[in-house]
Amino acid sequence: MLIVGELINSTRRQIQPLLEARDGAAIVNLARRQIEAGAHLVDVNCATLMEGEVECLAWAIQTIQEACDARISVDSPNPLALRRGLEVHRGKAMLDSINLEHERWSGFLPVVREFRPEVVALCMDDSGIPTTAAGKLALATTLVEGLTGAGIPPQDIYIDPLIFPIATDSGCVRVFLEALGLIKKRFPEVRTICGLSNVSFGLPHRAQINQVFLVLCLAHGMDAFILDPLDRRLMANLTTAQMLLDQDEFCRRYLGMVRAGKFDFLKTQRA
Amino acid sequence: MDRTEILDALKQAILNYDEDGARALVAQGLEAGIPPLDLVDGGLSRGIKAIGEKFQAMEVFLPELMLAAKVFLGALELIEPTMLATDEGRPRQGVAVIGTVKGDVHSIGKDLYATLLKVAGFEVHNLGVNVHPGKFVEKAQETGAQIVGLSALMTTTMPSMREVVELFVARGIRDRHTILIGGSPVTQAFCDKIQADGYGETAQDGVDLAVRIAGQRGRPC
Repeated sequence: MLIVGELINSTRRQIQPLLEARDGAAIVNLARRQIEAGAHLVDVNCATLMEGEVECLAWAIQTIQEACDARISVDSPNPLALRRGLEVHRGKAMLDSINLEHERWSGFLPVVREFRPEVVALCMDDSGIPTTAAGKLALATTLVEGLTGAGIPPQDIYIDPLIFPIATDSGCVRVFLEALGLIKKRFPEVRTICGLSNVSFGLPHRAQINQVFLVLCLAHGMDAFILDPLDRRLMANLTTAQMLLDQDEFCRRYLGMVRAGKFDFLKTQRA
Repeated sequence: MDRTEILDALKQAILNYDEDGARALVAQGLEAGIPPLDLVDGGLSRGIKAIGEKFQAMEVFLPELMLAAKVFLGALELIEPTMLATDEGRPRQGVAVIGTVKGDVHSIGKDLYATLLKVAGFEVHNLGVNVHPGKFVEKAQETGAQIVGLSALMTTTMPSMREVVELFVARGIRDRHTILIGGSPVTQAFCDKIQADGYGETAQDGVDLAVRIAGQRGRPC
């Protein structure tokens, strides 16, 4: 299981000013807290800074890596920002994300070839996001073939089948999980990844939906998540589901988290 | 049931998401000689308006809004043949051309907008996603659309909206069409900056805006 912490993202209202002001202490603090909470990588997105993105992204990566031993998921739609980010990154980075839209694919592939990062690859192309499991598998196949052709080993590819809001399509989670199964079966070595929040768009109590979706994804073989690791309930559910799915021998991790106080919030909730 | 009772029941059928009920009431209304347009404006549309208000107040949620639209369109289907046979066949509000701009493949908000525009009485031409500026111009000219609706869901594709506005200017047809924009990263400030005609924060806001503007521009002939 791989967890990417999603909080350092310029589209979040609180984050953009910190990036613009180059508030290193705040950014490092947020990176550190995510790692301590269980994230393996920290996603960094500065895309809303527009012209300022390239420099800011490089600054944020360097600042975080100087202060703590974290790998970064370099998150940008802009090949220039991506290249600069990967240049300054120490160790193996993750690239978030490539897809089959013509412009994105052709712009990113040279960068992928040069830096060989782990790659998040989204199942979409110029005609959009497929709404069937077979359609998602077809795009996943093209992505895997293209990326392995560019020298990325299968285990460094993270396919995101892309989830729609359940509010607009009651069948979309079923299709998503079916696609996940097909992709895992066809490419056993390739990893899968997804975000959690899109599924709950347009409905009340979104966190509740995201929690259950996480568990369903785990049960269908999801390998990685981009999520908020500071959400204690989410992390507790993740650990618990992993244990139930035989990903936690002798329940060591579960018990370790209990002893570390990570489940204490349940007590205060009950009181 | 008399005329008022049928119209009230139609409104209530929308509020109850009762498609069979709405269709039965429409058939009953047509048989009783109620003009088709009255069934829409006096019955179905009142129901949709009430749902829209509940949606804004967060008493009703997105799936319910979509379900209400489905009930509306299911009932409208029965009315349309009669409308086409009379003088009421033209779109009640006007014509709208909408799409997600070049480089952007987000479809959900845009499709919701298409459905709500249809429900509001527009003839809607939905061009899909990743739509090249030239396609908007072409379709707007072909259909005489009063409304051109642009959607973008990414900060990186918002500039494509400006390209569309500029192309309408370059072709010398800017004043013939009202360009409305929407999508989560879009703001009124951006709308002003690229000199589009209006911005809707939600799909419902965008529909209200379109209805207002189409009213000012007059019905298509």
